[in-house]
Amino acid sequence: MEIKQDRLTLIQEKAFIGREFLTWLWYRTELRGGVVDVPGEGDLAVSFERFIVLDTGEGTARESVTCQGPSAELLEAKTGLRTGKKVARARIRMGRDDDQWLFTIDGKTLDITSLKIKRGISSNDDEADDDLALEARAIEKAHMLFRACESLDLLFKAFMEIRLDPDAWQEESGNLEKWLFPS
Amino acid sequence: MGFFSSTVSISRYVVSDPLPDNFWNHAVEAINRHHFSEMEYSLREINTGWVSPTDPFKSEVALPDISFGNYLVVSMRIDERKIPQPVLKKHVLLEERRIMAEKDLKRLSRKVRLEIKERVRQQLLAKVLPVPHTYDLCMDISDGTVLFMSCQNKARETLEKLFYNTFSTRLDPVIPFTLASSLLKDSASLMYLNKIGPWTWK
Repeated sequence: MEIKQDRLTLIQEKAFIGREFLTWLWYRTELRGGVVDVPGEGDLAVSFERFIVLDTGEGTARESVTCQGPSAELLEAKTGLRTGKKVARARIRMGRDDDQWLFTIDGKTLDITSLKIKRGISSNDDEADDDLALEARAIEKAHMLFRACESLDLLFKAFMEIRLDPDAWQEESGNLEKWLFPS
Repeated sequence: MGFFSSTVSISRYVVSDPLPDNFWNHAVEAINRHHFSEMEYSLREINTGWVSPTDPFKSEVALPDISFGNYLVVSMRIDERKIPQPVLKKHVLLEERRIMAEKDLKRLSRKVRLEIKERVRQQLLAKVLPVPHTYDLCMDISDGTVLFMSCQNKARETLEKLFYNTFSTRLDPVIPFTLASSLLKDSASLMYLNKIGPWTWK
């Protein structure tokens, strides 16, 4: 019970970290046309797939807005950002080397829903009954799921390294504001 | 949306203690000790246990069912009987009326009414068929990281209990704060992480 309470408190108190991460990630994807540089790793391809939920955070006065649809181009979402909201949930396409995933991520918990492996896994269902094929499929699937999480962690780490360096964050947040409020 | 489905949902954990070197020797026995038991159906509302990820109705798991290279893939099965509230209410009311008529009473005490409700609930539970659900788990045994193929709170709570009872080690959820703490090793960053609050536009 105590553990559960601790977790809930931590999730609530520090939920802003995840929302800030997603907001930063969106900015970074637009900065270099869908490519995010991860120090020590190289480039990861990241794009926001026209489904974004923004909110103002925790509390009774919490406001949220959902932006989706093929023609939205996320302009409404950007307007939401300008009013102080941050990205609470987003549909993201992420690529690393030859692998690619499409998923929805929740900023508060980092839970991932509707994850599809778009590239990097074979689709040989005919052999599914064969034990060896099943084992190969399971290993391949597990590898790709963990790789997706590991790639997300690289992006999250890149964000945290900037966020927790006051000088770096001052510069980054200044650039982010310029992106949001172009003169 | 299980592990083998084309679309999955994932909540993440890390095992709180290092796994033993001879993990596989111990895993099959531990999982079978907490295997889902059809025999324990009787009058339980919820019955939980591990099952094979490819055959949730097998009576026990063997190593090839759950061991895939460095990965443990196993399913948690939850069978739940649910009595619709209106049905329970109706049968409790009928039973209360029957007892009042039989004993020529105008009303029943709260204690007796609660006893009737529980007895009726048990009788109805025996008539309701349990609905099975399975939730897959995939653990990389080289580092104890766990992907659970559900983000539902109820399923997660059940998993955390079952995992602890099975392996005697806790599953710690990966959330932004814990992930940041595990990725950043220097103490200055960790201290600053504890202090920072939300950032707002100027």
